[in-house]
Amino acid sequence: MSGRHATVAELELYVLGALDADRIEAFEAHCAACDACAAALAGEASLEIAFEQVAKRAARVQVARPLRAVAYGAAGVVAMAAAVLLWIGHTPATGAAEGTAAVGHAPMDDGAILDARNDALDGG
Amino acid sequence: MKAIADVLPLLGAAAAPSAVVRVAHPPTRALPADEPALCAAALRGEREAWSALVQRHNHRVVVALLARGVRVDKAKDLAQEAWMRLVEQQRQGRLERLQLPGLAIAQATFLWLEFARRETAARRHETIDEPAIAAVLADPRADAESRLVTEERVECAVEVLSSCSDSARKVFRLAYGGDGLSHAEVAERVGLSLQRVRQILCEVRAKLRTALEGEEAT
Repeated sequence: MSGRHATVAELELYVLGALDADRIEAFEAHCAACDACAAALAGEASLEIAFEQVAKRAARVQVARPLRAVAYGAAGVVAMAAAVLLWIGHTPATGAAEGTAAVGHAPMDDGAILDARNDALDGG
Repeated sequence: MKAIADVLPLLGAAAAPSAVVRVAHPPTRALPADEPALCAAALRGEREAWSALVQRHNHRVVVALLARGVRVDKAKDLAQEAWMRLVEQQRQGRLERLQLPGLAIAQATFLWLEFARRETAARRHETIDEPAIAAVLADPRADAESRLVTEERVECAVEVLSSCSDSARKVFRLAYGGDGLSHAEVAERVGLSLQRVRQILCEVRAKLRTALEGEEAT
């Protein structure tokens, strides 16, 4: 084995591709021969790859956000339409209108439904 | 395994040999040409394009091998060999599409599994049926490394990431979003210095480490 052990900071910089050029040669020579440092380097490399999964997943969560806004917007329109219908209506034939009102009312006091919808989108 | 000096002419890097020798470390300047144009040029057999792609993606290939527990010297050799194979395939007209770094990682992983199989067979004097090799043969683009971390921990890390600042999240997304951007290119896009970008990545890394490594974290 040659040279001193690698520090955590060095292992991290190495996988980031940012280790000082004049340290690289000694670092690689040591990690090629030292079991402990080789294992530590493997760990840092695994972490680096896991970050790509995290970035991918985070991007999916972000794509779903605008949909939430759209959902709220659409729900608002439905609620207004229902209100207008009820106001114009005043008729006993309210079965359909009540149904619409129930749907339209939901987003005003229950964001949980939209959260659930958003979660479903995130998961999908 | 051929020496790196033998590989250089093949990769057409005569103009910048030192650049390819230090392939594990990407250049600090941003590459001007975009990825699709470079890949198209490489598929036409243009050496400069291959050289630029090796520069851009080789480090990622080495990291993929390191994550599998391959020693760094072997990892660098295998990565170099993988690029040679891809260039050779292109010359023989057997390369229709070039998706990087995925294809180079698959090639390097295949070479590693083959090497490991030969080593094991030599010790046992028998052939073994390594399921992982079968999987790679069946689908060279299979992303075996994505199974290194559980979904649960990824979810947990995404939560932690969402608590970071907007600029930190943006830097992280650009650096790890699969576009193959160098840190210098990320710095250019977000209008920060290279040093600051690396500082941010180290900070985010520290936060995510616990989430991803679970109880092993110290």
